[in-house]
Amino acid sequence: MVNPLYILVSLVFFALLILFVQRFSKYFALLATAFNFYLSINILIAALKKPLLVNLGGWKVPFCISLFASPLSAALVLLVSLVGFCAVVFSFSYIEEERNRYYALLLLLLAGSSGVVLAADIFNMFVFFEILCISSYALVAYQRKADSFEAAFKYLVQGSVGSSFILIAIAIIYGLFGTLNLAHIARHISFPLTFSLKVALALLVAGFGVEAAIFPFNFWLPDAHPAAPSPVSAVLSGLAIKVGLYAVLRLIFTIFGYPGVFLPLLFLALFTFVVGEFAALAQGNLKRMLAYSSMGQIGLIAAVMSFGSVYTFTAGFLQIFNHALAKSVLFLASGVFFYQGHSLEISDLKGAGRKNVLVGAAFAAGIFSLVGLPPFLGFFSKLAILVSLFRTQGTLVLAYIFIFLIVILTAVEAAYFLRVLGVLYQKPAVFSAASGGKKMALMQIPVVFLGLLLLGLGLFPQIVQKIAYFAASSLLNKAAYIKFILG
Amino acid sequence: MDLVRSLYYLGAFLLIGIGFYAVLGKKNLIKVIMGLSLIDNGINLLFIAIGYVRHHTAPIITSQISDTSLMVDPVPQALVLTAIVIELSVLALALALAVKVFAVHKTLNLNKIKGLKW
Repeated sequence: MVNPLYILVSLVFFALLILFVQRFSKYFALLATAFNFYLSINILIAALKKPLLVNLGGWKVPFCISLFASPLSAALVLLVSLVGFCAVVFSFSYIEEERNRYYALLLLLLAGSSGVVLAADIFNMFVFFEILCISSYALVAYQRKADSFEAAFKYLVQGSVGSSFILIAIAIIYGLFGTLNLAHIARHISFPLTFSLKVALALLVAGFGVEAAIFPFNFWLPDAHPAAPSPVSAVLSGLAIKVGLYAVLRLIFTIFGYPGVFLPLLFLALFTFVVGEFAALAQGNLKRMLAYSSMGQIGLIAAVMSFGSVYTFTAGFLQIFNHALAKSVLFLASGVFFYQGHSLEISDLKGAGRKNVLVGAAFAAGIFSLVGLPPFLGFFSKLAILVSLFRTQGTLVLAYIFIFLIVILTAVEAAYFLRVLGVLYQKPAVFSAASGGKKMALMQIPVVFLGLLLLGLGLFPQIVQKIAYFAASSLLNKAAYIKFILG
Repeated sequence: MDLVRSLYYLGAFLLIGIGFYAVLGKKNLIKVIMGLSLIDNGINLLFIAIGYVRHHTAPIITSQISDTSLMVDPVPQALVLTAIVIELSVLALALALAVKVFAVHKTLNLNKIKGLKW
């Protein structure tokens, strides 16, 4: 059971099954994501010992389609399956109309995300990326309201322009080297980069950067994430932007191994960070605020990683885990509030935390973890980011400016998050909750589970730190990547 | 680089350029979608031009033709087939969304739809 192919096959199989069998869709989705979770744990354990390579169809590398599960890919696949599982459990009572299409699209979204991180050739990366994008366009429009159609259309236009950038880059690379295998491309790339390769890299970064929500390609995000149903927002904010970021990082650091992108990437990422955090401060709608905060966080992660040392990558991956789990908690909890109160304006949520003790506590855990308070996971990731920046060599001035920005923007983050938390526990309560009974209990399970996970991983961070370190080393080691795949 | 091939490249990038112009500059939703379609067609032409070898045949092995050295590169053609399927689904979804947007706002003008300004 340690074949990465099973992950993709089982998810797509269940997605199609749900479309054709009209009943039991939620149980099939639960089965698919539970099985996926079990598989991805096995794959991560195996990949930490030795990366897994699967060549499909009995052809030889580099002529076949290969799937490659490095520790980095396996860790991200585990993250995808964990958040996906929680989203499906949450959707059990949250989604009541057109379950078939919803679950089929959600499973395809998870399959696309897993596929992008597992693919070892650039065209399949693109194909899985498109599966991810198209299913997320449709899911954003799922609620069938005016603003969700508009958000989905905007997301679709910007996303497909990004996809065409990727395709042009693939055409250029294929024209130059006559190969699509990532390791084979990496072997052909020599320095200094020719002009056409620089163009191809820029197009790839821009194309995947649309999904990763790096400025200036992120205008869709603050509309699309809040317009989607809450479990989908959790998946989009927690996973989809990370998958885009993974593609950007894998191409820059493993395939091109090109240090020249440091300054442009750092600049764009810092801009994303600043814009996202300050825009979040001004929002009156909870989900919109969370979406802007995701934008800020992705900027922080990309900026840390652009420094390109193994320490900054480890810190960045810790923050990826932290943000994926914490933002899922926050979006799912806001789904609970919306389900009860039918409004997400922060002013309507007065006292909501008192009505839902468990969900309120999990929401607080998510906030504390994102801001970076002990004993949550976020404390260790923020600490690792600061330590790794102090350890950087050569670019100390930039590192110090960045540290200064992190301190300021963490204060901004704390300001808007603690304001929401204050409102949740404010007296007198405006928030009126209809008693949900059994349905509410089912929705609380994934929220509380993710909140406890943040606390648990914060108390025992060693295991995540180890995985992040392995992931970071596998991202940076271009020679080992080429050697392992091409032999 | 021979003339025919550079003409293909020129045509491909011209199509892509027109497409980008339509996506960025046009105010009508349908024209924006047409722009997306033009970009995709330009890219498909680019792929085919990259795989093209002059005076060579289609990459199909038959009883008469089996010499693969006289054929054009088949890989870009396979990529284009996949890309066309993806474009089809993106465009279908885009048109469906445009229908829904029109049903709500009774207009296809981007400037009149608040949520679509970018």
